Amino acid sequence: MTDDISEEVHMLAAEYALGLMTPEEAQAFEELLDVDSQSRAAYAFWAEHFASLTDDVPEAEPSNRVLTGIRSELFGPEAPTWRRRLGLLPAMAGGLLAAIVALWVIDVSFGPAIDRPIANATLIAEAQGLEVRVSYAYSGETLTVTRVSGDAPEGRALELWLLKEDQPAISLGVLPDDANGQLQIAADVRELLRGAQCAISVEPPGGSPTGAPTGEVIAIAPVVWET
Amino acid sequence: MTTTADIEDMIARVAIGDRKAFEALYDATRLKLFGVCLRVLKNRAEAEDALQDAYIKIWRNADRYSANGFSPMTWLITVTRNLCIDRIRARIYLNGDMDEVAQFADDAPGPEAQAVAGSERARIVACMDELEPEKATAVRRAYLEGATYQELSIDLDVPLNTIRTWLRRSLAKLRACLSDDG
Repeated sequence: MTDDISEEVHMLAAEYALGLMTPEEAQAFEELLDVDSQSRAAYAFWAEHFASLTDDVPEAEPSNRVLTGIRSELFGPEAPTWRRRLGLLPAMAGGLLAAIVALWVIDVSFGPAIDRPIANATLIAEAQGLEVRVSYAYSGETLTVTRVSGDAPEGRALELWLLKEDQPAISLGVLPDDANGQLQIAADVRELLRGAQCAISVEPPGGSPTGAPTGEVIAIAPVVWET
Repeated sequence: MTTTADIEDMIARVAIGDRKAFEALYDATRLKLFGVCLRVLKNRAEAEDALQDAYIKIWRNADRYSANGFSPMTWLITVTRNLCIDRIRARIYLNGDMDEVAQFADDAPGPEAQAVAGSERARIVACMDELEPEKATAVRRAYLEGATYQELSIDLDVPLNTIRTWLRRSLAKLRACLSDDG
């Protein structure tokens, strides 16, 4: 367990966990935490045990204003964007995301054949055995969606989203039941495709009731343009 | 009944921006975390402000949770408790902040730390009973009320320059008890 950790590191970790250090000492210990796994283990050891001191603290119901305040701070008009949250994805280790691999398929095009796809995204959710290919052609008012493998979980729908810069996720529609299908794409949304990402989330039948992803996001991939 | 694995799963979903999971996490943990806020701050309005800050921090830092080696409830409690202590300190002192727990989480989780998680909850209660009562009270006051060495020194009538040695001796005893497999 943590027996091989020095007494000094343990004492520092305990004082840090209790908040007994001066700001300078706390900062120095935080720098140690960043680089030293033993001090992290010692800190986790004390944090676990001290948290147990709250076991007999009675539960209490906060008023509704707490949840309202949280929602407006996080999801109000000034809410953080998808891009910011997704920018953090590489920092995640393990868990659901580890199962997600995004792959790129770039079509090689010969000449300006007008109906050839000019942008593609291949979305793969390994854990669900799902692979979906999305493509867009010049002339199109539709996205062609091909489910190469996999299916929606029982009683759920898969919804395709466009993620662009500082904007909230835009629904591109629920994936059709058939393996191949088309999704209508409005002119203003088409203009956003360049530099965007696609994502697939698991939603109730018929798609997200809120207009924003509500379920697990199982795959994300950038939209790749032919050059 | 919400299990540890459920909470862990919710945090993982929150990390990828799943609002539904975030609301489920709030539902499952708000009673406990608000209890902690009330215990530390002893003021309902301030406890509600602290609880709001805590969930905002949880949403923003959930993506760093999985690597920090804490069990999920410990992480939530620690984030919440530290924000409450920050508020207590801000009332009186201009002291350092205790935010690091939500921030630190880069390298691989220590397997030792993971092993502690869950398996020994409440053991500290038994080990605290082995300390002299005033020393156990000092540890409790530091964790649950944000007491500083200075305050402990006054309360316990121990000189400031020896209070640290005094408390460290108790912490060492506590550690020996907590690490004792028997």
